[in-house]
Amino acid sequence: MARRDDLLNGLAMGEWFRQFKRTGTKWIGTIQPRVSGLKFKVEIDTAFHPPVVRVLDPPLVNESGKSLPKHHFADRTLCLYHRDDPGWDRRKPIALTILPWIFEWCYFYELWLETGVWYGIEYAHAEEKAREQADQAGRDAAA
Amino acid sequence: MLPLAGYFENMMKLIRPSAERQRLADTLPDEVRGHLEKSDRLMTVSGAPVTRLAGSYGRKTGQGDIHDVDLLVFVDASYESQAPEVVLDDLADALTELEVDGYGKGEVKTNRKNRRSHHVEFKKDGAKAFHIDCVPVVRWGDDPDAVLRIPDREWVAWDDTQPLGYATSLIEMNGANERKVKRTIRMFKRIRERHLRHSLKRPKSYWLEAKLYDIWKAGRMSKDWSYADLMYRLLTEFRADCAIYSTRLPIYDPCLGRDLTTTWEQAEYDEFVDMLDTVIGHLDPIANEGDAETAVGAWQRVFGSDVFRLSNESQGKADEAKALAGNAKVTAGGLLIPRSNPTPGIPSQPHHFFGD
Repeated sequence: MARRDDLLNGLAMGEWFRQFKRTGTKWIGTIQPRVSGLKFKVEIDTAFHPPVVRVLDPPLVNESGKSLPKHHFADRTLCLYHRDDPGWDRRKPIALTILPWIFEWCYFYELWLETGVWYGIEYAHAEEKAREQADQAGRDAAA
Repeated sequence: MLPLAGYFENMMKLIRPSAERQRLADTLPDEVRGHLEKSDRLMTVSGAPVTRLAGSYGRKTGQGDIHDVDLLVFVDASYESQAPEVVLDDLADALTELEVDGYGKGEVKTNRKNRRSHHVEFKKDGAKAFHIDCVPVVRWGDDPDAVLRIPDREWVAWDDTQPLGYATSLIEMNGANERKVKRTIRMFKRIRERHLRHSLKRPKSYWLEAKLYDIWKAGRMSKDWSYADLMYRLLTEFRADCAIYSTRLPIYDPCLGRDLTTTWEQAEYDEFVDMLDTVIGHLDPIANEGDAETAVGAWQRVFGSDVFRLSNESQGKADEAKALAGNAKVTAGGLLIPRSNPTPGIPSQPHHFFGD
């Protein structure tokens, strides 16, 4: 229940949360991070830890094609942070962590659509794999 | 495939016929109608429009400043009982002294070889010349999309055509697909314009349209795809159909169903297929994502770097986005702004977007 309280606290903290409506564990609202930019209807499901976020509308490009948009899992949820990031903590209000990242994701997604470049700070799977390989090599050498 | 929507949107603006040329084309039916009404050389229909814009300008599927403006001239049905030469001669007489605002009087040029129409050529200092291609047509009944009768290319008999029926179907299909059908047609014509020799007469613009219309109609495209995916798929689908035939690809009229490409010579056809292979070869390496620089370079080889580029507006947005990376906050109004902006907001915690 603590996480829901966090979200309620977060909702009380800013005008931009007021529009989010709750149904069960899901919070749904529409955001527009850029002036005259795309509007995104997003869903935050607090039944999971950490919360799971999806864009409900507009349909994300390539969803019907072979590949997925940037920073997006196969189950259509957004990849907002890396596990080593200090920003996410279950004790922190979602409104202060997850929600600003959703704004960023939507903003950078819109620019990625236009230019093909993801301007947000990212940690690609390829880098993760390279780091894991380096760690393993280090362990092997130590052994 | 990266969507590169900003590049495609900007290119579509750049390859459209100029506003001046489109305006000119839009006013021509009235100008020609007014001229023909004053002439007693041609028997035109009464109580119905006498002229109608057709071709790429009429359907708004042209790219660049098209040289020819196609105009249908609705003539009295009694002409159909006579050899087409009669109506073509009368039309040539009636078009004499035709004047277009800003261009002055045109010159009627009749070329009997493989033509159903009369050219009226207009020239102006400092402006590109253009032709009005006037085709006499007979329509039976009042249905605006009906099958029309036009002179054949040898001027000895009358043929069926249904350009307005096709135009109506195209508008409907375009509307049902978020206007992507006409845009992909324009972009495909741009590829032909850029990669094929200018002297190559085939494939005609209308053949390409008919084939692309057919591919869309068969459900092989989706309005949900990005323009990048659509263009790559159109090219590969077109090429796949070419592979079915050992000689030239038949392309069927969307309304009448007859084969349009019977005059496509093998050498011309082979050159077109080679062009498809070249263009698809540029795009294959970026079909499964890749970085933006590589993808943009590949598309520039397809469309030309003069048109496949970001607008200043998009470039400005990209610069703003760079400034926001790792340095953003959300205002009470729900906007993402840099932390340096004095407007109060909740700062975004440090994080990395993860995943490819």
